[in-house]
Order: sequence, then structure tokens, then C-alpha cells
Amino acid sequence: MRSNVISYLKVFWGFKMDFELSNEQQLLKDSVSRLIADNYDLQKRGAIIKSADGYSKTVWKQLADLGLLGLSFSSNYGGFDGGPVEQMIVLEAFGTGLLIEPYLATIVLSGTAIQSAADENKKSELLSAISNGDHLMAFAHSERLSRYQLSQVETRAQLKNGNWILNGEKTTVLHGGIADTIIVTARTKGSDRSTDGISLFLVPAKTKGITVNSYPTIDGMQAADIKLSNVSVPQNALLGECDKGFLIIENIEQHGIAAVAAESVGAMQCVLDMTVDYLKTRTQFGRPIGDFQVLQHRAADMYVAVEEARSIAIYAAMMTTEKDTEKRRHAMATTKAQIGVSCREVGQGGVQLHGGIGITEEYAIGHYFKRLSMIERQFGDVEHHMTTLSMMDSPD
Amino acid sequence: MTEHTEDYVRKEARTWLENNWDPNLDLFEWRNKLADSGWGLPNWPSDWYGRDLPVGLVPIVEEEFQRIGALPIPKSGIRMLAAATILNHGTEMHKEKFLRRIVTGEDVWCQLFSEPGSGSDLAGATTKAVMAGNKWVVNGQKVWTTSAHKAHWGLLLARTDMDATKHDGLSYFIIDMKQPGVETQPLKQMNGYASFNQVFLTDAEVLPDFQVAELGDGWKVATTTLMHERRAADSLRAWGQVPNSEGPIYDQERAEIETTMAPYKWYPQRAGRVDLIMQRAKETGAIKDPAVRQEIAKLMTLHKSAEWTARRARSAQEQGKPQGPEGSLGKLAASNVARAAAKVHTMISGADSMLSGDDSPENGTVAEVLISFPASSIAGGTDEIQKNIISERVLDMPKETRFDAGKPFKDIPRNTIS
Repeated sequence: MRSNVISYLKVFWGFKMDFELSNEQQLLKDSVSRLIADNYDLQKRGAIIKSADGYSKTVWKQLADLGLLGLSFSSNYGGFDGGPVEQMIVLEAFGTGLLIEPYLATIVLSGTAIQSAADENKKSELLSAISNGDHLMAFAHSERLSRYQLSQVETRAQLKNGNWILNGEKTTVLHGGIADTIIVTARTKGSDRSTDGISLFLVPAKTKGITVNSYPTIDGMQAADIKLSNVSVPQNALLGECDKGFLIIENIEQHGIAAVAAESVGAMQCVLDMTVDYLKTRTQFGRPIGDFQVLQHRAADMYVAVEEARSIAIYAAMMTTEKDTEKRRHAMATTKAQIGVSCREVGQGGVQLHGGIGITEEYAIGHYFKRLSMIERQFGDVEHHMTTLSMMDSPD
Repeated sequence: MTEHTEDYVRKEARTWLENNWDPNLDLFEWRNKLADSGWGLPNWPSDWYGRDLPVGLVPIVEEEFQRIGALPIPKSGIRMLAAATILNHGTEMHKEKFLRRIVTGEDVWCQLFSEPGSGSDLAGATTKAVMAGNKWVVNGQKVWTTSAHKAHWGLLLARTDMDATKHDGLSYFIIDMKQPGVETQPLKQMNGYASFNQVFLTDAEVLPDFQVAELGDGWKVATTTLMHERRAADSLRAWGQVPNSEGPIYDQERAEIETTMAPYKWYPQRAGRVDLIMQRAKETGAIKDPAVRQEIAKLMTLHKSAEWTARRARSAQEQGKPQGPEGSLGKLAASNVARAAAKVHTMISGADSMLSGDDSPENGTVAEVLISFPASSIAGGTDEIQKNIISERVLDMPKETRFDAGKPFKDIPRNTIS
């Protein structure tokens, strides 16, 4: 563990831009940053948001060509064996550009599901398909009554004549409307809130009985409500062991938390940089407003919040591979709680320090605020994770 | 020629320790061995009791010390700040005269910076050093001086030019604390300890050789000392830990800690004693209260973030990055933790947290947390000063309008001390 800590920290040391990256990692960072600089200014991003699919096929293809989609998958399945560090570099850069591509849905959430639960055949088929950008996926888990409770699954799956029949309704499925394959969680036994008896299924989006209702989320992404009425899939659509899906779901969510943690750090750093620039240039009462100590101290608080988020995002990246379930659970709840607190401090502080211009549509800060407000709630808000933590013994 | 690979250093350290460590040695004999071999502070220069080892490899050596149970050089206290300052700015004579006895722990040091009239505005010091004949004569009053009553030497910031601007009129000296012109009085704190002193300097003398750096460079040198101090204020630092192994050398070190480290005894309480929270919550049954549990969860989250922030800083240090203004980040994070911990401790203990002394829970520890934590956001520069440092020097925001810049110090309004 110790040498691991050191090697991660060597990479991640850095208040602000002071990373110590290997040559390969630096190349990676540069290429993602360049791609974002070229393709993701506010105007281009706005056009992508307004497009029918809500994502850019061109950018998605570029991400695939750069090898970013398969980055963290095993080379046995056409990936690049990237570790948590590489994943963090990429996601932080995505946060900088406020990327709205279906990376979280397809690569992080669905990719984790397949990597951790699929058999060899499906791994080689699906991981290579999503890595080269040809195939999009979504993870359909949360339901109307979930309120971040991972074991709340009312959607049912029953085995009839060698086929699984799925019935139920999923809500806010990230990029559910454009997915080619949807991973659906459903109850195969037990009561609505039991951790035992949940299973995962790979369901082609075109399957009869699926109704998808897409809508934009506050941050410009797409989500969907998905209704399943007597959706029939073959027996081998089952992903992982029957009834034992809860740990897989938890693992998916934990990778999601580590990913949005890294992404939020990128976005928060931008907010801080923009805000500090603004404070230095905006002049009122005959001097730059950054001259006022009350504003300086708010900016310093934002800086502390960004750095604490960065520290905890590094911790989360490391803990994604922790074997002890309890420790990992505790670490991810801690992470998401801190990220939530920081998103709030930085997002809201950024807007506040900009004053009136901060709430306009044309100015960038509001877009960051929206993404940070979204991340604050994604995979559980601060209060949810604080409650989770308060029920657990600290494993340290 | 030494090789600097992890394996090589580990093997070398292990061999040396196996041949030299002996728990029956006298403590100072052992520390002298460490000084001669350079294994006590291996990242120090090889000319000065070190081995020129990159800072990143120091943890390897520390692991070997722990493995065999050997006592390391104690790294806390003002003497290590003195060492860092002397290594950076001192003359050959200073290094020759002071460093060895810093390594062995034979000399106690103190820092004479703060004054009754200059707290946050440290550079407003008015203690004067005037050249009279062939020596400096010092007059003035210092405060918040940890260990002054035991110190052999003091790091002194004094004004040598009233006509120069505030920062440019300061110089830095090493002063002999055991001379008639130096009088110390303990300063009792609200938590009952007297870790600090007031120091009265009345025609105290400093030989010209004991000036550090050039005349007028005092502020620059003091900044080095202060940055090292802030770095030590992160949440990973353990104060006055007593090893619990048996043997004469351990007894000797325990006795030393009892006396020289006595001023630091309440520092763990100042930091909030997060380590006691879960135990206390279970003992009292407060753990069953969801409102308390929520507050514990908040505290633990804050604590974990501060811990990892400190680890990043430590790792930067191990990579040999110079200490920068970012030290303020760790310090702010640590005082946030202390504040939250005091709140949670008192929530857990309820009305019992009003008890003082041994009647208070944990033999007085909880009371001590409650009346000690405010010091963490004041000592070593208040939270507000840390935020100034971050905004001006990390975020590069405009400097606040200064009313003391560019003027001769003698023309700047200042406190009148009666």
C-alpha cells in the first residue's frame, strides 16, 4: 500500500498545474486538452447540446481514435491497461471542457459493469465495441423511489421458457436515449429494498417493450426515463451471477464517484481560475475588486475547497482497487461527501464573486455552476453520504 | 560515491543500524553516532551530519529505524527550524558551532519573533539592535516564545534601521539566552499550561559574528523559518510521542520528552483529538444519536481530506520541492478539523464537557480540547493571515492597499506598549 501511495502521489502532487507526470501521461494530458480546446468552446458545446442526439459523433470518434475510450480496459480486450491515474487525467480534462459526451454512461458505468461481471465472450465483444466508439451503452438502475438507495429495485425479471421477462420503470438513466445496449438492473427475488436478489441484464435498446423518454438535464447532458413492459431477453443476457448483483452495482457506482470526483476537480479549477481573473480585472470603487479582503478571503476559501477536492479525488482513485468492501464503501462515501461540499463552495462562490454577469447564459461560469450542481447530486448528495458514513464504523 | 536507489539505501541503512544500534547505549552517545554517520538526518548535506540523500528516500531510512526499533533524531521543536534556517542562511561558523548540538538535542532553541505590538504584522517588530563598540546591543520585548526559559539560543528578529522601510530595517541574529540581559517570564494560557514566555531584552548582547545573512535581510531569513514552521503544522504531525519499548536508552528519551517537550503536551488536544471521537461516542452511547452521528461523519470527511492534503504536501517535500506559500493550505485545513472536532467532542460529552480538570471526561482531555482548539487557528499565523497569503501569493490577487509601504519605519503608526 505504501509504495502505491507514493507512486500515485508522485504523479498527483501538484497544487494547481504542478503535476509530475511520466512522458506518456503528459502526452495523454496534452492530447485530451488539445482536443477539448479545439472542439469544446462554449459555442460549439452549445451547438452539441442543441443537436438531436445531445452529443457529438465527431468528438466521440476522436476520443476513440485517441484511445481514450478504451484507456482503462485490459489490453486483452483491445484496451490500453490504463490505471486510475490515467483515468483521472482524462476526466479532469473533461471537467475543464465541461464535456457532455456519453463517457460516464458508456465507458465508466457500463464499462465497469462489463469488466467486473461479463464473461470472456461478452467482454471481448462489448469492450472493443465501446472502445472504438461504435457502440454506446447506458446503465439503467435508479427508480422513482430510489433516492440514492442502491438496493431499491422494483423492476422485476422473471425467467419464463428460457427467457428473462423484464417489467418496471427506470428514471434519469444517463444517456439512455442514445444507448445501443442498456444495462438494466432488476429484482429476481426478495423485497423492494433487499440487497439480495438483484440481477443485471444486457438489453439491446431496440428490444420490443422498451419505451424511452429522453430529456436534457440541467447541465446540458441527456437522460431518459425507460419503461420496460414484458421485455424479453435470452437467458444469457444475465450479467454476472443471478441475485448477486448488488456488489456489482455498488462497484459501478464507486467508479462513477471516482470519475465525477476527478471531473469536478477539473471544473472547479476552471471556476477558481476564472473567478480570480475576474477579481483582478473587474474594477469598482476605483480599484480591482480583488483588492477587497472580503473577496480575497472568499477566493482563498474556494482554493482550499478545490485542493481538498483534489486530495480526496486522488484518494478515491486509489481506493477503487481496494479489496476490502467496507473500506471501499467508506472511502467512496467520504469522497462523495467532500466532493459535494467542495462543488457547492466553489460553484456557488464562483457565481457570487462574478456578481450579475455570473448568472447570465452567455458567460461560462454559469455552465460550470450547472455541471457542479449536477455532480453534487450525482451518485448521492452530501446528506446521503453523511448518513451512510454515520451508520458505519470508520475502518481505519 | 553513494548510490541513490531505494534498494541500495535500504540495504546500507539496515547494515549500518544492525552494526551500530544498541539499546544499552547512552542517548547522547547514540545521537553522536547518528551525527557522525549521517544516518540521523540523511537528507542533510554530507558535510553537515547528513548523507546528501534525496528527501524522497528518507522514508526508506525511517522504515529501517522502525524495523529495528532504533531511536531517530527527534525532529520536533524550534531547534529543527533553527537548523533549517542555519543550513539555508548561516555561515560556516554557525554551522560548525550549532548544527551538531542541534542534531544531538543538547541545545534548546527558541524563536524571538512576535512582540506585544506586532502579532500578525510580524515585520512590525520594534525590538532594536544597535551596534555599540564591537557588538550589537539589543533592547525590546518578545512574546509567545516557546521554551524561552530553557533555551540556550534564540533566533532573533530585530530592527537595525528605523529609517529604512518596515521590512528592510530588520536583521536576523542568533542570541545567547543565558546572559544577564535576557529575562524570561512564563505566559499562562487559558488552558492552564504555560508553554510560552515573555522575553525582556535589556542591553542584551550579540557578537557581530552571530548575525545571520546581510544587515537588512532579516525578513527574508525569518520567512524561511516561518515556512518551515507552517509546514510542521499539518495534520500528520505527531507531537511528543513517547516510544513504549523497554531499555535504558528509551527511558532516557522519555525523560527528555517529559522536560523538553513539556510545552507541547497539549498540542494533540489543540488539534482536536479526532482519534478519540469514535471511542467516546461508543462509551457514552452518543453514537446512537443520529444528529451526533451526522456531525461525526462531517468531521471524519474533513479529517480525511486534510490528511490527504497533508500527504500531498509531504510527498512534494519528499520530492525535494521547496516549501512554498501552499503550506498555508495545510494549516487552514488543520484548523478546520480542530474546530469541528471540538464541537463534536462536546456534543458527545454533553454537559460533562463543562467540567474542568480531571473530572472532565478522559481525565481532563475533553475539557482540554475545548479550551485549547482556538490556538490552532491563531498560532503560526491566524487563519485570516493564511487566507491573505493564499490570495496574494498563491492566487496572485492584488495586494491589499498598504499604509506602511515605502515609508521609513519610524513614520508608521504603531501600537504603544506601556
